[in-house]
Amino acid sequence: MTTTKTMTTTNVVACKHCLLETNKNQAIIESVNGEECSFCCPGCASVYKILQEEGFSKFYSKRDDNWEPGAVSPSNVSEELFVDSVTETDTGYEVSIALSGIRCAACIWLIETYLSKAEGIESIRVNYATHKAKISWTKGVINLREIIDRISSIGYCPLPISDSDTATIYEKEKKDYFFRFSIGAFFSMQLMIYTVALYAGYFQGIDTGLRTMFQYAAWLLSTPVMFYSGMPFIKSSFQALRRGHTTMDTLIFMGSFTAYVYSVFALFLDKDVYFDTTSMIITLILLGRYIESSAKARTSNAVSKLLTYQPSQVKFLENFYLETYTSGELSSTTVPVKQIRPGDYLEVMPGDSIPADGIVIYGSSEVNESMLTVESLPQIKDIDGKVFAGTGNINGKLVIMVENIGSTTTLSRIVRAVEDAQASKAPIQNIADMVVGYFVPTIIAIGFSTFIGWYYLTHELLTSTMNAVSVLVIACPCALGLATPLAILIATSKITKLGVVAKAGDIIEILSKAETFIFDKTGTITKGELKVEEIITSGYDKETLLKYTASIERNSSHLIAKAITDTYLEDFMTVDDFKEHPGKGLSGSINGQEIIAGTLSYLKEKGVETPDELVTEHIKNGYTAACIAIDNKFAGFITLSDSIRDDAREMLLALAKRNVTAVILTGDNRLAAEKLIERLDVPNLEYIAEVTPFEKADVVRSYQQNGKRCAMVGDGINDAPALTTADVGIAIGQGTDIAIESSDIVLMRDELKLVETVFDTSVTTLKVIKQNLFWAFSYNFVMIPLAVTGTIHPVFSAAFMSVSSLLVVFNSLRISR
Amino acid sequence: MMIPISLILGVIVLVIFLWASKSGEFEDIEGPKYRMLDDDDEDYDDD
Repeated sequence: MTTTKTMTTTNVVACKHCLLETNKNQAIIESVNGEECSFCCPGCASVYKILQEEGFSKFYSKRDDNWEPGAVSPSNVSEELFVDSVTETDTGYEVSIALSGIRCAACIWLIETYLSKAEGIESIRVNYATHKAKISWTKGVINLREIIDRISSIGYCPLPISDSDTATIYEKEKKDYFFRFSIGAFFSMQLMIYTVALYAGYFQGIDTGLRTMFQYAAWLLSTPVMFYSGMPFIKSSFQALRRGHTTMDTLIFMGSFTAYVYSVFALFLDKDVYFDTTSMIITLILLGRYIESSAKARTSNAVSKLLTYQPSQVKFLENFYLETYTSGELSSTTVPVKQIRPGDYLEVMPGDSIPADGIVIYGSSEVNESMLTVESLPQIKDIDGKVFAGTGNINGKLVIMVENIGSTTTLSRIVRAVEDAQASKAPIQNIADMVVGYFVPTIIAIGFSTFIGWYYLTHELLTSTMNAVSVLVIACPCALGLATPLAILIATSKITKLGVVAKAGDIIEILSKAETFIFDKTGTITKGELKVEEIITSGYDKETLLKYTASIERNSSHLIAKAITDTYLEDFMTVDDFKEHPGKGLSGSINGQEIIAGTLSYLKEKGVETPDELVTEHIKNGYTAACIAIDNKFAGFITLSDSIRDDAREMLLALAKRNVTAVILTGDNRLAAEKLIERLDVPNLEYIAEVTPFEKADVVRSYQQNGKRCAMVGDGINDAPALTTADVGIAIGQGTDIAIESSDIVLMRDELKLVETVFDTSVTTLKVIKQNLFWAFSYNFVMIPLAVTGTIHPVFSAAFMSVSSLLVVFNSLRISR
Repeated sequence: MMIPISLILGVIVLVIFLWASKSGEFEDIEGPKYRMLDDDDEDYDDD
């Protein structure tokens, strides 16, 4: 193994497979090939064993330092999902699938070599960029089920690819732009040879025949650029025109097309041609579009949204009666989730995710609902408790009666809320479109007046037309067309290098105008995991109390127990008679002393006298308290809270300096929220307490109705509708897929500070865009009168055009510093 | 004379490029840098 994390504490070990650091006492320790190995979860252990047995341990030396620790998630995918994408070949079958769980190049090496080792596999090729695999196999030797199982057994989850996925759509868009750009770039380069020759010929003199030949070559080369590469602009300007709008695309189309038409006429009238203008505008803008669509394709997951959270197969209990079930006569059968109807009974094992909304009929367990609610702690579910699809069952077996399944579950409702918000989102006009809205009609008016003026004076149709068209050509120069796209292109590539993906170019511009930043608390401002804050004792010293508590808590897998055990660095004491009371606490004895650790009410139930006021005060302040009694006497309590991210304060301070309002949304009560604000200690920080998941989007809307541009920063499923509603949604990359899909900007690294960086970049970008537009307009201000009067010298105009374009290019490059 | 030749050469190059992209040459631009370090026939376990 090349990478070994330094152990900061004595009781933390790294998982042998995924390197995730786990508490030594909770790790699974197994001996593999005579070596004692510790694992964070059964999934990792099983993958490690398979790799060792089959001789793939090279995987561990192959992966690099960028490997991100993370447990293997067990997958059980039905082969039915893939049936549609299987095609028959000469000797067998071929299937294209998406793979989730790939973290590095070594993963791809592993999948390819491990699968090709299986008999019957003809070829397997995994795409490094898209994580899609193409597998072909021989009929009769191996089947789809076995292939899927083989992939799952080494810790990756195979998923079907669907044509309607946003990822697939973006892939197609990207491919389309790629073709149009490459062809545009190719012809433009060829064109440059003749253009340079023509310009040189202008100064040094050129044979007329040669000149005409070069001009014809230029025409030939610029035609595919105009009509193939430029097609997206042509289409979208006509679409906009039909609705009575003019957009940036209209300007690009007008600029390139008038130059093209003018040059064709000029060619026959033996004048100078501007075919280079046509191709350069189109090619450069297409490069920007291509980069933009690559970014979009990268952030949208190839995985269908709901599929990730809802298991495809469930344990169905036919003819359920409590008596037959508890006596063991009735056992579950595995069926596809599609066959389940409301009223059916399902068994949910610990570690599985709950497949449907329903009511608990039998059993009790803790359920992680953090993705749906604002609660970061697991919720206890007893008989008659309501459970939701997509949430995770942690530690107990449950039997549930299905109430809602498929599209009627809470999870689906959130997905629909996101879609509704997307549909109703009013687009913000960006500065370029706004300028173009005035500019294009003005220029057309000037061009038209030029024609009328010249015709009135000279009565020559041809001269008048040429002068009018030259106004259009000169007025729609590269500089104006490039002003915004180029600045945004450079800003986009800058933030991409920093680990931020902007899904659309103009989002950078919109972000710069944001006046309110709304943050979700759990998982965004805080880490979403519990940490011990304070140990308050009565009659014992802190070390002893922690020693006792940690020794007993190490036996439990509860989140609170994990947090307490992680704080303790010494050796543990032996615990006898350990008992876990779900939802209440733990009990056991150490050296003959009775220890109880649990909630306040549990201690009271056991007859312990407790300082109620002191404890409840802490609970009111947003802490979770674990109370401890030794020999039925209150010994103290440990407070825990969701710890604030290290860079949260710094980022909020930076935002406060930039005169934007920061608001934190939390589901906690007012007092707890106030305490959080106090701990953050940032001036002018606002908060809204007691917000339910469904209200988050409403909060955003109410700010917008007060005329404020809002940016929302979040990570959970329940943030998704708010992320979409906000003018700019920013998702934290480690967040859920739905949050990432609903947002406009994705922070690929788990750093809040990036919010500040992106905001700064966007402000600089807007400044640069304004300067660029100023330059472009200064150019117009000087040139249009010359064009109208027909006194413009072609070479002078070409030189001036290049200078103003270069100014725009260099000015935009300043963003990247 | 040189102009048609250069144009024809250019078009040939373009056709080759289009053929290459159609047949998936640019589908995975990340992969080759990793694949070149893999030896296909070696024993997987060499450490």
